[in-house]
Amino acid sequence: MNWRHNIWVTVGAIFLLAGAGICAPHKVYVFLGETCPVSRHYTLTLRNLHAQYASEELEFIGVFPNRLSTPTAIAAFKEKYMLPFSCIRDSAHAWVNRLGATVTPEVVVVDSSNAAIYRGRIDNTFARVGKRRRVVTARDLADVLNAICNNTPLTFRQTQAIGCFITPLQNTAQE
Amino acid sequence: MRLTALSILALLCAMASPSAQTVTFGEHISPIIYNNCTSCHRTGEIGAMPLTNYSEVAAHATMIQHVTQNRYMPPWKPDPTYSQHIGERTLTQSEIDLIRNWVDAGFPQGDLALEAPLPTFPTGSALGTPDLVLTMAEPFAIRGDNEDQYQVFVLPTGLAEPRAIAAVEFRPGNRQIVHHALLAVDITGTARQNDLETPEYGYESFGGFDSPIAAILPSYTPGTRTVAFPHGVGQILPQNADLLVQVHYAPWPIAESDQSSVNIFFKKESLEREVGLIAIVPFSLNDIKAFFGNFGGRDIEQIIAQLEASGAELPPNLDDLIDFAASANDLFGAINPMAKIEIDSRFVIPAREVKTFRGTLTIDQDISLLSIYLHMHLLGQSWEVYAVDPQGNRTDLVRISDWDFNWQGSYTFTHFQKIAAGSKIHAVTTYDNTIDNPLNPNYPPRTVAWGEKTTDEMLLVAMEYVPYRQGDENIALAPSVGYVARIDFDGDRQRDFDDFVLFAQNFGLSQGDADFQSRFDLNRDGRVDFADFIIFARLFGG
Ligand code: HEC
Repeated sequence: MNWRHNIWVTVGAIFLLAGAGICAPHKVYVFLGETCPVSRHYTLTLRNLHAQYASEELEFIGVFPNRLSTPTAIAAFKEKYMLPFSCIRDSAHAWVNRLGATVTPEVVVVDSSNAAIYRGRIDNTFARVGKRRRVVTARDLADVLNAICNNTPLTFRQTQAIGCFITPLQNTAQE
Repeated sequence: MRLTALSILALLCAMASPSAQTVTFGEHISPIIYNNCTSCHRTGEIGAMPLTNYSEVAAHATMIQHVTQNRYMPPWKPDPTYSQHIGERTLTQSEIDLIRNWVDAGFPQGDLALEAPLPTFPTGSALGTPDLVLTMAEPFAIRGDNEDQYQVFVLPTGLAEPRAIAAVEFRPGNRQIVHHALLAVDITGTARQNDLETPEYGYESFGGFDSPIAAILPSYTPGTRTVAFPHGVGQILPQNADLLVQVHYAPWPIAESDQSSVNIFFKKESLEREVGLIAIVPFSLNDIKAFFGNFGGRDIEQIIAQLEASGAELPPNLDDLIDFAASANDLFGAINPMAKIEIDSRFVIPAREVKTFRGTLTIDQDISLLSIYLHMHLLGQSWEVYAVDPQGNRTDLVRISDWDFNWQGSYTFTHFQKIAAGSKIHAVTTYDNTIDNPLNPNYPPRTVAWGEKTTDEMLLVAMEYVPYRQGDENIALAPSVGYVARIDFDGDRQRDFDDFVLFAQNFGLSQGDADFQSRFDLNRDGRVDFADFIIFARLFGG
């Protein structure tokens, strides 16, 4: 411990304080399926995370890739489970392909240059489908959002999301 | 001669069948999904994703492939190759392979003219008009905080005299959130008192009913087939009894409410044999009874104080006994100790260990078993229960290799299972108290013993029985509907000669034959053979 060290700690703290409350611009894409029980389960967690972190800079967007997800079905799901963010339909899998999601629910966090910094699960509630952890021990999305709002530099990270696999668009040649 | 005719028929059918190369929804997949999944996977039912037509099934194709490959769906815990129970839900390996090939091939629709008809699902009672309908007095609102909720509701029967029950049918009010229900009978008024003491409707209780119980009634899980007791056999519902229903509400992210009801059917004929209950628990019920007496409702501390004051000798494992007696006492009224229960070690599951227990119940008279109910909590992994008679002959009762608390229930045997006097019923159970068990409620793990809380464990096998009578082996415990459907091959809701003809046409085929259809392979051993014929004949007559 010397004076140099102390100065760096102080400078760091000032930066942190300045940064608090202003989260660098990012988008959180949440892939969801209104017929998937795991998606339904996570609506509560998503509401809480949104309340805690969302801002003009940090936007949440629900993306519905199931080809049966009609605008009516999406709107009904958004209303029933009180999702506080806008929801879009992705029946052509444009977003699925661009962001590389394979499961609902799965989140992809992108920075202002549209580069992904996190892809995967929201937390580790599910060890596998049907096996719900009673004690959640990893809160991956919250950690990423915390880091963003604390201006901690992040390198891309990926986890395995557990939920309902997104069925690829049908290869019509097969029919 | 007859067999030759059967083989020729089979051969003709095999030749008439199309090449098994292109698996399509219309021809191959629709019957598998509609007959094994759609009962729970349609609007308003517990399975979230509807699977009622081609586009719905295709839209979830990858996930359907996944959950059938790993045998998560259809949900059915007992191993069907070990013992047979009513209402079995399993896919054969060939059905699972068909689904996999179909999805890998891009889930083609094929010719919808060949699509299987959607079964008609009963909307009202599966048994007819109930004699007594008990409904929750008001809707119960769940918290909607993504946690499991276990609420006991007290439904007074108001019966002026004891009645013999033929069948009990739990009817969930909100089928999406009701995950399972346990039913019991209280004649002490304790449960009513519990309800009065909590501000909300009903009272919360995870492991049991928090009240002495006089009888345990058949439990409910989604897809349960209600089984009526056979002629002359039934359970007594005492006069003025309270029916207790412990409803398990699934974790749910928003507030919802439920108002379930129970249909009761009384026996028309007179009761010849009353259904009793025997149990395997990790303690000797006789010892506890001998020590504590039948202390229904009384304070254990007080009893011990009295015993100590009187100079009585206290048993060495007193702490275990007290923990156990606190809840087992509730079961005393319901369970016939019958004979001594032995367990190979103290019921303690040390932190960070996988532990196996072996319990044995000796049967002292000839009995016939009707059903078996298994109960453990979140550390539970597996079960094997079997009987060995004095000559060493073994009867397998139930085996579960991946216990799931959410799908606990009672399993009714397809036929009365005779257990001869002197037999021993063995239960082998395994618990995983390591961090590798994601359901472990304690993090880090801690040593766990008997108790009613989610963080405690239990070990309970409860079996319904009647005293044995000559010929019991031939009594089929047919459910009201559904089971019959197993041999209703032509779908006309009759078990008749036409079904036999269809069965005969498929006789002799085995898995791998182009024409093999698992629905004819009644014992699911991969061959339609004489063993299946025996089952067919039993169901036909039963
Ligand atoms: C006895 C009722 C029942 C039957 C029969 C049944 N399911 Fe399910 N299914 C459920 C329940 C309950 C869930 C879990 C819903 C929840 O977690 O809320 C489920 C979930 C699923 C899921 C989503 C998995 C998840 O949790 O994300 C799929 C896919 C599925 N079932 C497919 C099938 C298929 C295919 C069949 C037939 C082979 C089938 N089910 C038969 C009750 C049933």
